[in-house]
Amino acid sequence: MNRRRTIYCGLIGLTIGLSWFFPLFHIRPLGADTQGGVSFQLANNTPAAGKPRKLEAYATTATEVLAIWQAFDADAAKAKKEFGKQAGLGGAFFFCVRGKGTVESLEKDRVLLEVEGSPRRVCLEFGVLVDNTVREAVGVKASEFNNSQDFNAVSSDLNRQVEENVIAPNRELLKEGVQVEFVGCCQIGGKSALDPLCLIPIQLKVTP
Amino acid sequence: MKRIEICFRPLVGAAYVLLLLFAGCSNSSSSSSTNAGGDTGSLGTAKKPHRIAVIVSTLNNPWFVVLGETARDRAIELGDEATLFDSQNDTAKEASHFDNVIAAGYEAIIFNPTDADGSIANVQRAKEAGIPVFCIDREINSSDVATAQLLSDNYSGCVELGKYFVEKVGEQGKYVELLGLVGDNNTWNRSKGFHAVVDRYAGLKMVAQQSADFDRNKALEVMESILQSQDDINAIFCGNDAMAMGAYQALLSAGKADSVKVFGYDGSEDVIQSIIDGKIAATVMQYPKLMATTAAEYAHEYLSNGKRDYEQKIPVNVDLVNHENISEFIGYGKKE
Repeated sequence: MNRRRTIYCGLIGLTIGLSWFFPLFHIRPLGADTQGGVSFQLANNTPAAGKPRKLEAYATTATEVLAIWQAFDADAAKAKKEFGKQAGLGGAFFFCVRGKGTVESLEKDRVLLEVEGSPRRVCLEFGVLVDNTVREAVGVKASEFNNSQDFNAVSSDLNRQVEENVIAPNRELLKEGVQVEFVGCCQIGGKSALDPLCLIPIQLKVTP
Repeated sequence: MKRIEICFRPLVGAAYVLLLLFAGCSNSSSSSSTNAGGDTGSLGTAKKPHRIAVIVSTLNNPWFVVLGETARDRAIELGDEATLFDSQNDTAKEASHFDNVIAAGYEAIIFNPTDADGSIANVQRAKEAGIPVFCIDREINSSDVATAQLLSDNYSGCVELGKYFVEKVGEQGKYVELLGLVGDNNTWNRSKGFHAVVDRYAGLKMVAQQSADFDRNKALEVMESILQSQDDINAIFCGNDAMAMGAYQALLSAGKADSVKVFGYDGSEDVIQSIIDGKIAATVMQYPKLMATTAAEYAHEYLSNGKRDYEQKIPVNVDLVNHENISEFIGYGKKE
């Protein structure tokens, strides 16, 4: 009987020992995840795939083209940081630019403008739009979307708006000598991209 | 004697239950203190190295080997302990890795998911266990579960590739597209970026579009089968470099390697060499080392310095690589 009891006690002891070092469960105080700085910083944004994005709303954030040229002449790196939006890690800098000019010449898919107050020129791109320049320049963020496919769909939608609402109705109106108020998007890698500064127009006002 | 035994058994049972509870409480508090120590440690000089798990979708593709090993090595360089896990493109294995990593008390996870939707639950479990997850290269379809996601800008890369494709193939021709894993967003972002350009040209006809799961051998099999019915194609667009190499091998066997242009995506070592040799027309350089290094640094900052303000989704720049600019590149990156 004593032997049985010894075995019995031994087994209990072994089980307790194992349970001590390898507990079957852990008890954590409620809200433990928010204590001691281990909480997560949730994204301050919500999925916004369905949110309508109108070009007109973005046009108001544009920087004067003369200010862009002046800033690049002074310090290109500073100009990029001050006026540009970088597309992710190691990506290019994109800009949203506004100004006034006079049509100097027309080609199949671009219009060259003389700009008031500068010897430099602006060119308005009127060709097929396929890349993310507009989306990046107006500052749409990937973090706003659950799914990068939705983020890319925004790019297609903005490009479509530019082609249908900006390029198509203005193509015929642009002739040599007419005045143009423009807002456009571009990528600026270095100083060579400043003259002419080629923009995808997102808003145009043509005065014959 | 029997009476004593009858009294003794419930007492032992009760003591055992109490001890179990006590063991659970005791372990919980010690685990919390470890986490707190990690978070409040002085700048980069935590006494105990942090344990970081690097879980990668597959190590059967050299590109992912570079991704995983770079993340692990950078974490070790920063003074952390890091272990690399291979999910073998299997969501069940991935889930099991997460279970083990959470149970083993890892403090952060650098994660390359197998499935944009299927992997969310794993990240959620880690989050609930207080473990930050940094996704790299592949996305999960959520903007509030992972701590941050570093993702190649695949759409932009394939827009550039699409433009070059039209330049080289012309505005008329027939082509085949090999897709990657259909559950992965990268597959569709690449495909959509490419089609955003190529579909503008009515003369360019896609005669077949099939998945080869980002796998070289599958791409070889799929292309061999396609070539039996489509013997007059001009080009093949592949969603990654491994498939591009498989497709090229199929063309070689069919005696069509010189007449069909192959386009890949990744910037792997063998494709960079193949562009130099004139076998592959172009690829897009992703920067796996940049993504992996940055993720390891983010994890370290999170654990050692208490940094929390990460952008949720961070696109990583990519570059078109072709015969004209090949001298600037090596496998998996730019020349120093």
